[in-house]
Amino acid sequence: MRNPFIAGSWVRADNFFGRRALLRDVLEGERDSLWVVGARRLGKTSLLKQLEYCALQNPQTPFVPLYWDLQGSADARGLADGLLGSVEDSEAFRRATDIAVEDIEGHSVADMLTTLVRRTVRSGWRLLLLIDEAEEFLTVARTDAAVLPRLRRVFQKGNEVRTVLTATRRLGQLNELPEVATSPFLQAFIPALYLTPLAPEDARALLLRGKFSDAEMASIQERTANHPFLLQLIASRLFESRDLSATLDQVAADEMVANFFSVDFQTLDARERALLEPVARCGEQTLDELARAANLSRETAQTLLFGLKMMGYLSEQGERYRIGNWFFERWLRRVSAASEPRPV
Amino acid sequence: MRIRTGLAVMLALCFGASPAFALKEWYDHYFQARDRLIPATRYTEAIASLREAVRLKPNSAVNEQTYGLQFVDYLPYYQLGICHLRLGDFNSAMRMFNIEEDKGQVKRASAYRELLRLRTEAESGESQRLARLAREAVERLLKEAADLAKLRRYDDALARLAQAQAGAANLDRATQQRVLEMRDRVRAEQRELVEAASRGQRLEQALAEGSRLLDEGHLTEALVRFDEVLTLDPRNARAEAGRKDAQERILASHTRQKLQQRFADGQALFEAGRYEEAIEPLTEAAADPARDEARMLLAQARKLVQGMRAQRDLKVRIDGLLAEADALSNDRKFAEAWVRLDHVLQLDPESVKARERLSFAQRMTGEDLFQIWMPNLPPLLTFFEPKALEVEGRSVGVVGVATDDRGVVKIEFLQEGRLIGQQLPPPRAELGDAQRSVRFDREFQLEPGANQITVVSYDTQGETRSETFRIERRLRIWEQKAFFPSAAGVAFGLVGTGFALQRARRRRAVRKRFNPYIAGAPVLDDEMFFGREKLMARILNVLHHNSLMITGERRIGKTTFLYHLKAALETDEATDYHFFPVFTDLQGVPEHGFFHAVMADVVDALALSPATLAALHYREEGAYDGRDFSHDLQGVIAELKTRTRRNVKLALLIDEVDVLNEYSERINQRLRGIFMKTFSEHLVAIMSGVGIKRAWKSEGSPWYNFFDEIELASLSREDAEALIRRPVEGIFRFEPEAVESIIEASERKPYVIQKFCIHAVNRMLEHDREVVRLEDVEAVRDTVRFEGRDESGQPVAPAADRSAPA
Repeated sequence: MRNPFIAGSWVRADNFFGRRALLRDVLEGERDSLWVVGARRLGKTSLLKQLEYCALQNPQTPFVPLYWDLQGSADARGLADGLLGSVEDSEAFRRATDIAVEDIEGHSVADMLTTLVRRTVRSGWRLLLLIDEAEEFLTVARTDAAVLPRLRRVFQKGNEVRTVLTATRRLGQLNELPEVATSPFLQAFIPALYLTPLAPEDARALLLRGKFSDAEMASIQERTANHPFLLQLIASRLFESRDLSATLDQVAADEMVANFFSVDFQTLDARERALLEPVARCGEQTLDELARAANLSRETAQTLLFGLKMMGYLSEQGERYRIGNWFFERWLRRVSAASEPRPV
Repeated sequence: MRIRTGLAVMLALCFGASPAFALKEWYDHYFQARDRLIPATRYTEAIASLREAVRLKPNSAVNEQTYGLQFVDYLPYYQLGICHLRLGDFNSAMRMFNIEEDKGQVKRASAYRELLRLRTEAESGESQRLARLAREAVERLLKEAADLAKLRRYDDALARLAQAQAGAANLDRATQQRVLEMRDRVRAEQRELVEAASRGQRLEQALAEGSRLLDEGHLTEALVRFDEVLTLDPRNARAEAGRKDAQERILASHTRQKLQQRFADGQALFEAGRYEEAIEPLTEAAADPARDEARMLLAQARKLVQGMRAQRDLKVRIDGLLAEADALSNDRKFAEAWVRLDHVLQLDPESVKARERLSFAQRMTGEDLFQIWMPNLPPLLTFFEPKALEVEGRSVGVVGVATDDRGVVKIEFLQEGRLIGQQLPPPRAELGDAQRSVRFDREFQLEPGANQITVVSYDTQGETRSETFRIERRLRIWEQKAFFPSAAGVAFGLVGTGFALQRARRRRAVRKRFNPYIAGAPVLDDEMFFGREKLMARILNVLHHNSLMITGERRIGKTTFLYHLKAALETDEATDYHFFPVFTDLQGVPEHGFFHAVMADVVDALALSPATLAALHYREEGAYDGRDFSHDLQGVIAELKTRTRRNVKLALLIDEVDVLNEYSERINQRLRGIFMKTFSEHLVAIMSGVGIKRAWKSEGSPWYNFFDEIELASLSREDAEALIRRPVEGIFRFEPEAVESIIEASERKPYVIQKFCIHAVNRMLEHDREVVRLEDVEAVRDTVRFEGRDESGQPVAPAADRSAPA
């Protein structure tokens, strides 16, 4: 049997595990503007790919999906190019809406989107617009601020289009940018839905593919706290080596994993980082201890801690908070220790 | 005259006789089919001729000699496929084309492209045929359902519609919608009718009972019944009159205290949760129009009781429907079972049991329909080996392929009628169903004389195909009694000759300055590629799902590894994936030319068809960006899909990826964007370089996130020793101390090892020796250290001189 685990690439269909409630919320819920917030490598792209897949597979759905990856767009022209590429990539969308790339080529991105929505509705569908790497709107806002209000008008066309954005917490900065002068871009997308680590039973279902022992699976789940990327990475390597302790040590020391934590950590704002660092240094902490250490009011700390918990950075045991998973804890401890001033 | 007439008749008989008299060789049958019968569209006869050719020569061949110096591409299964295709038997055509492809020879022939085209035609023909049958069946079922609904045979109508729904699963959305709309209409009619009938029945029953109880003087019970009627039909005059009569008579016969007492009784029972028992005293108490609280409590009790009754009735109804569905399923009446389970889900949408059974019934309804349109045929067995039925070896390999339209689940191997092994093919990775084509390769141990070998293939529905060979094993010369005495004498002579030959070979190697080591250029020779087997296996094991980044210091062997990985992927036939590897070297590629450079290598490596090439945005000159690249990759993948039945994986092997570190983040992001596209399910990248620049300023995800990183490290001690010794094995020899010294000084880096070996062997040759000594290794240390620097002057052999300062 070849290695069934997938570390890094997006997954869908049989390779996708869990998230049933979130999928249902998007496909069957009432809200037409949704922001799914999640840490890096928690499965945001896979969630969108699975939504696209579910919509394409379900003959009863009113939606025709279009996946749009914003990364590298940078400005309005880049957004338009990316959207054209998305239409080019999705034969199902083109067929369902009877649209060709040539029909929208040369338009501005807002006009392009308007045409796509119009053609979708005319064909008897609703557009399910799945926008990945939505942080790119921050770059676009800095270079081409006028485009965002126009896009916002299309995204919020009521019943005709359901827009799902995925991004890290950084996207929240969009509402604070002076360049975005009109009403807040994200207003309709708030409150955000959190992409959490996998539920224990879903993580176990994923690990069962590797035919590991119960003890091995329990150990992986405990160390990773069901973080999907870490689960897949460790399972993939364990599948090859069949030596769990060596695999765990290897992953803990892996530069790629350290870099992942580092980049991910940078997506948090300074106050969130200030809350995590004392937990890494001193172990479990209460809300009051953390609020004091980070110099925040109790209410602000509580709000921020909720977000950190939902995204898997922290876990809560009784009234005390601890770091979400063993690997992140090791990395954060190492980084915190290195940044502490040394006695002269 | 008579004699001449007789001769003419004989000649006519000779020349006009059946071809069986005239044709003797496989190629006669083959040529007859290919050159005469098929062009004349006499396909049935051509099939008979080709079968005869296959009987005489089962294996396809390219450039096979026929008579004299005539050569032919012998592709009988391909020709059989053409005949079946033209006769409209698409399924057989696909089978034949698949068998020809599995045999492999056709891939070397010019007919291969045509085979792929014709197979697509057959697949499309089969799909169209099935679609036509499905459409006809759906129309018929819709009509039957409409007729049955008119006769109010709703369950039968719904069963037809369930079949229509299964049949329409692969048809257009409009047809599916029509079926669903009709189903909903019939369901609504049925529901209305059932509800009306049930309401009327309950009403009549309660009214009759109320009247009887009133006549018998059971006033309270009568009142309860009349109330029931009025709940169902609030304007029922008979019930209103009966209720009034009963109420008046109760009031006349009860004192206020008694009514108060009855209310208290009813209230106590209600509070104790005995709602059904509470109804009677409360009804009695409520007969007093002034007693509002009694009426309110009575209404509450009735509501609760009705709810409980409804739940009970619902459970009974659901259990009944489930039992009916089970019985129908057992009788293979899956469409009828589907209807019952649908009813259950309408009554209880959360019923997991019903949902599971419904899914089974739906699948089986579809399969039953499919069985009608495409009856199951036994599997086919095609053998590539044994090539002869008389062998000398102790064993014989039986190699072939089992194919089946439903899927092969088991292949059994029997010898002399006894089961000696079986092969259970795993399900297809993507679809989870049985494989349609399974290759087998089994070695059988043979006894001297006759051996009977049987292969049996099973499909998913239990159909089997069995083929038996009778293989004669002849004894080899050394197995015969006279062999050993005569062999001994010959052996002595051979050993002496061999020794002399080896001696001469060594001297010739010294004279010609034989030195097989390679340092600098990639090592392409398999014999010189050491120590990466585990890593290669690991990569082959994960590559179907993952893109990889191979990192390692300079000259550790990354390029060499990529070349060998490419070769391994080109021949990897062990899985459901067909890899098409393309090698690209990014050295010297500027940022604006990145996508163009990669596509140029794709175009060069894959020999794309003119039609695909014409549709690409790629031209040798001109601007070319990430979107063009994405567009072209889709076109390339579309063509690759026509070349194989397996899952296509275009594998981009990109060397010197450190160049990407110099590019802007935007280009890197565009590259990542390619791997986010849907078609990237058919794309994997294996990049190699010293390392990735991890500083990341952009808002989005780092471009390298989708790679799993694998480090190419130094060789193990055993592999390092093998790399030193094996290339010159049998010709020269290394002293153990020399080997140890190289291993230590090179830090087991393959490039440095080869450098040492090149120079040490050269020095040995200069001294006219055949053994590399420690002194040779020590003497070349400085040379290796000097040469072991890269273009920037950085050492790649840090330990080449132990005495050198750190």
